[in-house]
Amino acid sequence: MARVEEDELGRALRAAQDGDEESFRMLYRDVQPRLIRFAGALVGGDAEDVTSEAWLQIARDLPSFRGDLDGFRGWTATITRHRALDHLRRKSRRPGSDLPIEELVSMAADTDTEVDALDGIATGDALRLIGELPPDQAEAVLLRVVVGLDAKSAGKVLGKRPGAVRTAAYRGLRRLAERLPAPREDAADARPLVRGDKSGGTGAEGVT
Amino acid sequence: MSDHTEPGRLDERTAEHLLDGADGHALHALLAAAAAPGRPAELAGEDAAVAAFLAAPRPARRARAAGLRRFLTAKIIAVLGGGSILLSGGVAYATGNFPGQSPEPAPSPSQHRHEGTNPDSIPATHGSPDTGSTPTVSPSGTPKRQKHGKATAPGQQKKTANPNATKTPPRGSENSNGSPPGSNSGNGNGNSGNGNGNNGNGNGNGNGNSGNGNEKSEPQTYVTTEANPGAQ
Repeated sequence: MARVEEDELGRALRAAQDGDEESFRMLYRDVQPRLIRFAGALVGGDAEDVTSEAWLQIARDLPSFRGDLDGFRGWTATITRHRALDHLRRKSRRPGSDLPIEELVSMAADTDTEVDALDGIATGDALRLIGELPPDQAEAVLLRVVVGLDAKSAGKVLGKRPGAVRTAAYRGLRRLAERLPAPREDAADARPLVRGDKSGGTGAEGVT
Repeated sequence: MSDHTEPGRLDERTAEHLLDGADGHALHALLAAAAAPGRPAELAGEDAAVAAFLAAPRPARRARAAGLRRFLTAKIIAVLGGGSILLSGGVAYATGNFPGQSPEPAPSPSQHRHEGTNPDSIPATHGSPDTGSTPTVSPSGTPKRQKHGKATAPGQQKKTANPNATKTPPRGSENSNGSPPGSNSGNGNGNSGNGNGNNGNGNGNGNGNSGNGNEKSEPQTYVTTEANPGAQ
């Protein structure tokens, strides 16, 4: 599935807010993969359930949403995150569970091994690697890279300052980079992980 | 790949570029993989989401229209407000001339326009019907005025009606005083507005158009009435 042009999606957003079903489907196909991958870092294999809940709310509240396409992605990510945290609270089976978010997310991180069952190996492996980061770093990286938000918008989703998100994402990338095999020695190992996914976009890197 | 790849060493700037989707580091491939287009398995919930979408109570157009409304409301209000002011002012202008001059409402505006240049003649008629018809004016005067007011502008009605009401009791004195046309107008009928307006139709137009103008004219009437009825 090729991602549709942003302009077209922007128009689809307006039309969906007016009740157009096809436009809503277009939005769903663009946003849902982002959300389910983001949710995967929080709730692992329950990401689909969480995003299903999130879409109930998105579908219900879409008419009252105000903003552009980027705002819409941030809004949906926020909803998804809230549903994920609700899910974790329920799952924790602690009625009063007032666990701090960090702890909930850490609990989720223990169960994220199922993520790669979602889809193809390469994307799944990449997500798994990101999911193994400390939760705040994984969230920051996923919001920036997968959901497509800037630091400010990601900060809104996470309830953090943009600077904190930048730092977390930066640390996450550094950690990922450290985990990448050394280029010359393990290039052959590293590449297949990534390469299958590239969908032809970036030819330059695979070549060595 | 070989150029950029020093995996452990990643400066912030490069990291920021990577997060923005730029190439230039071994990590780019990993991140691109994570952001690869969706797969069917990820879209399994589409129909359920669409069902929720279709089932959702939808103020649909209200939503977008609301934005437009908010955007335009102030302007619309301003336009309507301005329009109403103009209307009331125009009405005030038109009626303001009439009621004082001729107790019959309908023909007066036309007369007015026709005779627009003959304010003097009007108060003359004015004075005569007042004196002549003072009884008619006093009993029926208030309801007639109300009619005028209703037809014209609500704002005026109340204001004029009230002062009239207050003024009506001193009618007797008015009648006695009635000989001076200006005082008559001021006392009797909220005709006061007319009288004043007559004095300065030009002024009455400029000022009296707006509700404010009316208010201003009223105190004038009060002044006149007060002058008359020290009686009050």
